[in-house]
Amino acid sequence: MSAEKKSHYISAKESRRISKENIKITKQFEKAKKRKIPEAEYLTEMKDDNNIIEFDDLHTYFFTDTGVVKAVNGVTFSIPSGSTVAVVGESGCGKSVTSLSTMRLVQGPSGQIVSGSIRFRTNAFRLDKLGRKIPVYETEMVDGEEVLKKDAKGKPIHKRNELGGYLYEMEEKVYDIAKMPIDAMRSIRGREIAMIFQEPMTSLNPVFTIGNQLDEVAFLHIKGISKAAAKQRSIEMLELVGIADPVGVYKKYPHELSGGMRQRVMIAMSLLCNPRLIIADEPTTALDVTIQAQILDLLREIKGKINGSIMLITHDLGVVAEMADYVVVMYAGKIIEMGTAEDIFDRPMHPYTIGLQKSKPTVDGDVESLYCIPGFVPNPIDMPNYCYFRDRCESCKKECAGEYPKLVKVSDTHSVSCYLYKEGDEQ
Amino acid sequence: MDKEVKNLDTELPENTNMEETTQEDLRGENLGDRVKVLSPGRMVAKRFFRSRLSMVGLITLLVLFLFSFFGPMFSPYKGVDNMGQVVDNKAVVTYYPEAFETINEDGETIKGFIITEKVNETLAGTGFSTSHLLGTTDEGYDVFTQLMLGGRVSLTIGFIVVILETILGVLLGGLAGYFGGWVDNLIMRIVDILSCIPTLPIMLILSVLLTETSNNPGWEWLNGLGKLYVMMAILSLIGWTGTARLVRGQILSLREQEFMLAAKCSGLSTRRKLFKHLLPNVLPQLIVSMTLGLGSIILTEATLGYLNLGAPLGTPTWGALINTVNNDAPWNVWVPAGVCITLAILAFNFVGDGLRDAFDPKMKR
Amino acid sequence: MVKYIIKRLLISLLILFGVSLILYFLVRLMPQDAIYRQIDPKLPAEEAERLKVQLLAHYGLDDNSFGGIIKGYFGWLWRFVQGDFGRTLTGDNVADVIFRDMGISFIISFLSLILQLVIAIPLGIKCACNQYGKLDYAATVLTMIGISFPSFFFGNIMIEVFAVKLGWFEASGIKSATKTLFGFERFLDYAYHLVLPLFVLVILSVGSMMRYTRTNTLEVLNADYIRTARAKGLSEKKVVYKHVFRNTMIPLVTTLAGILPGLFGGSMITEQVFGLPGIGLAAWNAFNNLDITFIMTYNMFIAVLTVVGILLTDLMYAVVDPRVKLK
Repeated sequence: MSAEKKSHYISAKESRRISKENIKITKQFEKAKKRKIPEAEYLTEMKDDNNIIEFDDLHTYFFTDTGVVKAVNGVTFSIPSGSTVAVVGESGCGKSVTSLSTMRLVQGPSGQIVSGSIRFRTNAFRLDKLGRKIPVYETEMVDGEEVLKKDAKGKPIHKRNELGGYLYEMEEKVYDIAKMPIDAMRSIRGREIAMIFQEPMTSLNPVFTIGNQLDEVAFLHIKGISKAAAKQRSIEMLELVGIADPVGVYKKYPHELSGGMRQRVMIAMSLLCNPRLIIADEPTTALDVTIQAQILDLLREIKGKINGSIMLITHDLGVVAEMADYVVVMYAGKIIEMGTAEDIFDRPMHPYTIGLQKSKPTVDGDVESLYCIPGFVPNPIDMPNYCYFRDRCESCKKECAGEYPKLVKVSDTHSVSCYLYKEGDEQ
Repeated sequence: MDKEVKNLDTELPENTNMEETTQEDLRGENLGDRVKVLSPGRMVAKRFFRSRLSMVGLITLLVLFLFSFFGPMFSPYKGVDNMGQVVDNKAVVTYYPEAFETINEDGETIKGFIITEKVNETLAGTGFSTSHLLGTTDEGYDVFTQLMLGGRVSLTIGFIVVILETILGVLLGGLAGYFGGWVDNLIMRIVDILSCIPTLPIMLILSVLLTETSNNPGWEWLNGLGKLYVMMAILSLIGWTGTARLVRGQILSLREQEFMLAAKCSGLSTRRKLFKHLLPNVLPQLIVSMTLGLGSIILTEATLGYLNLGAPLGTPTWGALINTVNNDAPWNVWVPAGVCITLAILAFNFVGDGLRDAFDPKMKR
Repeated sequence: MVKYIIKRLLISLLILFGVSLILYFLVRLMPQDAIYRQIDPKLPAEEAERLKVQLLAHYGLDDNSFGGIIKGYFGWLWRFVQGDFGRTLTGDNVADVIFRDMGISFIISFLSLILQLVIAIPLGIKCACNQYGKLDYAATVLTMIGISFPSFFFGNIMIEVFAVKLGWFEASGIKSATKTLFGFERFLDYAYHLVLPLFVLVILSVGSMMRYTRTNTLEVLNADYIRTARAKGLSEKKVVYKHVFRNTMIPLVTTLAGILPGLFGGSMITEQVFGLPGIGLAAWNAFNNLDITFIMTYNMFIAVLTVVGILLTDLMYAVVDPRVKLK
């Protein structure tokens, strides 16, 4: 027994080799993050213009002392504009890392996006030949012709939007986020993609007031906005997320608010710049049940108001049923099944998804005890090339010993990665 | 990889054909078992040995130990008893035997030799030479040998004091944390008081006191290294407070934890649980604080030597060698001693720091 | 809050009482010959003996029975509380000497603290942001060496090299003895004399502060709210100098508040090495002359400073950290 146990420990020689390789690899990636490259290198095209974001064969690895953890191992899915896509799975299946990869917030140097692409359709600044933003100037009609309005000194007046921020010429561009340097990525973070984190208790800086932390986003992304306008915008947002006393909360410190309130503040913060995509990483996990429902309602309500998309990361199928248009089920860094919410809930196919469904508590169900999937999610180091779920599966077949099953389309919207099904099975 | 596949084959019952294969067999090995991890001990060792600075510290310490404890054996100017008391390590003593003849009261003639020792003036206070690598002091001691002997004193004292401090600290801190209530209050107030007493002035007062006492009959042993050892013992009487705070804090935080409540509910003795969990929790911190403490004690000891408060003149300590700078000694006498002190403290700091990083599970790289 | 402060003050008084008791007993054990040095040796033996008894009675040292010592202690305590610290062997008022010498000690310690802060904080933050980088390694090694240098050794090396060998600075003292200077020149003269001691003090203690900053910064960098700040799109510079910095400063400011009173106590060894006429040197001389009154008062002075420092540290937490409410 003890001898068997020992074999699970890495030998000293092996661990030295691992750390040496890790340092070499991560150094390269860190360098790539910092370099300055022209926009053209990460400009790309969407596969489907209806999508707001497309993940294409994304691989995000963690180079740890025990080996390479393939946290996200070839994930491909897309989020259509204006829809809510839920990414579901047990803890450790790579769903959070997928969302962090989208923001390029994977904790370096050990965590790196190794390959694949994340194509994001963004409202970007139009740049002139020197790479500068092009301002929009005030115009007036003189003798039926549109000419630039000049100020007292004869300079053209920079046009401002309703918040008092300077206007620049914008255009739609598609960026490959996985290839962007962090510097360029910053103009997308918070402005075009906003993120709501799991832990509202620790996600706000304890030493600054709520107002200070909200205004910061406005100052950052709306150039030229005045202090008063930023404050007004922040208070508006606090009101929007259903905080009863927005002016009072604006002046408070995070520790003076409850968990639910803080999560509302986080949502308000994410809404400040009207992002196209909001990533909610288990937004309700740390809250108690009544607050959970309120926050979910709020998210749904807000999606309607801002006309954006939501990528909802969760392990709670109840949340998914309530919110999602599309569902992606992940297991050990790979997608095992995806489809519309009806596909997944009414016709789940992968044994894992079926297991997840069965383990969900229901009020009207007549089951005696809750179902539980045997075993644990494997730690994805040194994974074999066969179905990762095989060792926990109740209906595995002879074929399952073969290589990892490909994702097959059982219907137009529904795909599954399992040997039990073939192309077009659902029809 | 290959091996694992083979295992899979052998696990299959030999005489079954595929149709009869059970679900269990089809599932194959448990994926969770595939993962290899580092054993906790190796993780600590690995983090420690990977840090180059800790290795430098460790090697320096080793060299210093060999230098101080085995070095004097190879010195031609040795002559030290096991207690570290210097019998004679003068480098340049010449003995002058003189014959004498006296007549005692009974009228008998007694013949004999008197041996007087004289410091060879020309060899005192010299610079570098092949016979005296670092020259000699004004009193005619070989600096290199003195350096080795001083190392013995410093390192021995360091270990004695650290061990005393730790024993006192663990004991009193443990009492305070375990019993709580008025015991805790009393011990913690003593800790407060002791940590407010300025160390150096107290040492100064003690030095005066001990010198005074050593003049009384029966207390002569306080001359020489005896005084130094007494002073360091008293230093550990003041210095246990940090360890006590550490141990007490650990016990208190363990008491707060939920598994203690669970232990109580399941009827397990709190005491057993407490001590079972206390050791692994407090030991790493204790080892780190002991290592870092060694450095600071060597510094204190050297400071006392420098201020001429430690051992009396002529006792070889590093601090005493540096003290010669006040008498305008040439640099070859005091600089090497200073370098040795700095190296020793530095090495302990490096090792202590490396250990702290190695033990800390948060320090992932 | 007020209740908390009062409680803490009472505990501090208790601690000081304990410290004074221990100190008094120790000092009582010290040889008393030094007191007799005040007596004119030319006096006839009888007269001298009478004076001796008088002096001992004056210091409260005449009765060596247990009760006598206790009585002596409370006599001393009563005078101490009233602000009567007694006279030194040379006949000066102890309080006057302490106040006179405290200034120089404070100026030196304060200047060195400022220099340390200016170097340690930016360096510590920079090292934490590039953990395990080249700068981090270099700074770690150098600061460790600084921490490990015994002050008397490093001070003497500096004197040997820069004062004796190169003759750039003077080996000891705070001002030129031969010239009488005024105004700006006098200031320059002071500054010139302080270069070496300040250099030594800063090199020796900048390390621990830098490492403290580094450790704190590393801890804050891993916090969730830093990830939030990055997710907002803030530049790394803004993240570090706004969000990280403020949180790093909380423990730093509180420890600084604790150090501040200690600055008045002087440093016995540095002042001795460089011959600076601060309170540390005065204490060193007092020990050599067995000046019991001064030793007692000086030690109590240091103890009071320590206690005030601990108190300030606690109170500072409530001031700097909006989360902390004292109970």
